[in-house]
Amino acid sequence: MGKPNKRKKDIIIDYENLDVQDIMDQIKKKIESQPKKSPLKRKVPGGEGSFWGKAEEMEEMEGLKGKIKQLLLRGIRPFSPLIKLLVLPVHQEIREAHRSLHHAHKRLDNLEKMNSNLEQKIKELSTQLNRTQEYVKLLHNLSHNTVVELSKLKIEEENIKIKNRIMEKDLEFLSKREKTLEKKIYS
Amino acid sequence: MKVAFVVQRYGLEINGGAELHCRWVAEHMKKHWDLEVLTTRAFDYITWKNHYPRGEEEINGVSVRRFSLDKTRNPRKFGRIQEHIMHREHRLEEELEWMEEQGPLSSSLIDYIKTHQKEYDYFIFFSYRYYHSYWGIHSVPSKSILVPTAEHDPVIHFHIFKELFRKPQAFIYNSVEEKNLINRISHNEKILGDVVGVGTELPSQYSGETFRKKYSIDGDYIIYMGRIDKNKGCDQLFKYFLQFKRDTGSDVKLILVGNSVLKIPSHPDVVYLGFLSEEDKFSALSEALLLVMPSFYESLSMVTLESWALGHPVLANAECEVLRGQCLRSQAGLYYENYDEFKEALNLLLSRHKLRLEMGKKGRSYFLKNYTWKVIENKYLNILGQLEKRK
Repeated sequence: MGKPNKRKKDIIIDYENLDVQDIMDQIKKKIESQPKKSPLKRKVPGGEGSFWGKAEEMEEMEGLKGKIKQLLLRGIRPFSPLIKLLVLPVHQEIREAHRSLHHAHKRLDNLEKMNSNLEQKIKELSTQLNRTQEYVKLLHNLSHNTVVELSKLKIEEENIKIKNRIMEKDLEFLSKREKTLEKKIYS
Repeated sequence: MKVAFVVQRYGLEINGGAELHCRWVAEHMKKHWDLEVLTTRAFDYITWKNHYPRGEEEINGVSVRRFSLDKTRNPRKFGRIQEHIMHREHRLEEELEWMEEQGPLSSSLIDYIKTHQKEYDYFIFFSYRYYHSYWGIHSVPSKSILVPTAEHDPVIHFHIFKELFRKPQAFIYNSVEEKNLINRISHNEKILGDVVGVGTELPSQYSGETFRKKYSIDGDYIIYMGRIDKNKGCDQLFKYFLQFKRDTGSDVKLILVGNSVLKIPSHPDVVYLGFLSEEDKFSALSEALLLVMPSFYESLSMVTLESWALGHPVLANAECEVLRGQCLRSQAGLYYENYDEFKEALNLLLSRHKLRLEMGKKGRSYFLKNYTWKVIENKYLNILGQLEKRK
């Protein structure tokens, strides 16, 4: 079976009373105690073999030669940010940042265009809305007047009906009277 | 006693999740009760299309009554509604709209439950999140029992469920973690409930040797069983396993069993076998050094129980509270939260035969104590017995 890692022997397990929680705690402790590689150092291209790695090694050198080199290194230390700027891919990062900013600007421009279009549309819609509101007001007045007129007509209709009824009664009376008079004349 | 099991889908072809859970329980409880399954005609859980014929049929000795679905699910529309209500302030009506859109929408099933409730003593609903459970429990709260099969899914925090979890007469939970989650959400501690889960039966015949010959597998391997899906944490498992191999130089293989909806990395030690028969599945499991369960959400991992039934330890994703809890309670598995823990735990399990052996023993005894069918059946009978006493 594979190549089991011998370092794992440092996890102590009581097989008689197996305790998963204890094993997991030991695993966590072990992970915590393991030396962590500096992510920054790993990210710097060239790592220990680079100019700065070598410079640090040289600092540790003993003797006159070493001291001179140390002095030289101290001398150029103030310029290290500039040297780093030239050596390390900062320029590349700046270009990338610039590119992403450019893209963001483009997107913002598009958004502004969309915004102005939207504003135009909102204006048109608000004009339409105002017009519609006026129409609604006119329609409201019209319907109100129609209702009033209809009510008047209804009342008039009722009056005419009543008049009609009275006239019918009068006519009936007159016809009765006529019949009575006719009877009397011929008798 | 007449009992109805109400579940979203039911059929021999459905081989996972709450539906399989329901079928297994039904097949074991039919000898104790006059049992009937009320379900829909759906087979596909994405669209809920009518698939099975309407009416009554018998499956493995269990009578099943199927009801038509009113409409199919539109996954896009459903996704849009879910996205909206999960990330924005919303009204109760919108949650109900989500429920209706989720389905499976079968008004005839709910109508049947309402109109025929006097014919049944109890209705046991499976899966809290679906339409049949929500409206079914609202239709017959005094006769309902819920098997929630809940996991740490964001939808569980919807208001409609908070109220739903206070309606049934009893709960049948899958795990302690699930019980705690539901209690925390709805404060329904006073409602009767027990942690039951589901049982497992080992097939009478399985052979690791035959399996190795049949699939030309040699050497040591760990195994994953289940749907190979991003939602099941498989992409993380692939990443961790390949990194583990690079870091340790181990020659252990990873065998994958189940339907895949994820691209499997092309590596000689990652072997995909597809969907296997029960016999082959157990044969494969019996030869494995351990089972790895990378899933983030599980309400009860049946395959974990099967691994313990065979006396194999488990390496589980600690992000899944249920799996972590099961490992701690059984003392039969380790878990990981990140790659470093995965590496250390897997290395420890691979390098110490005695640890695997002892954990396997613990797993087996945990299984025998809690997950044999006799234990499960007694728990179901006990819950209904308690409800009967209250009448």
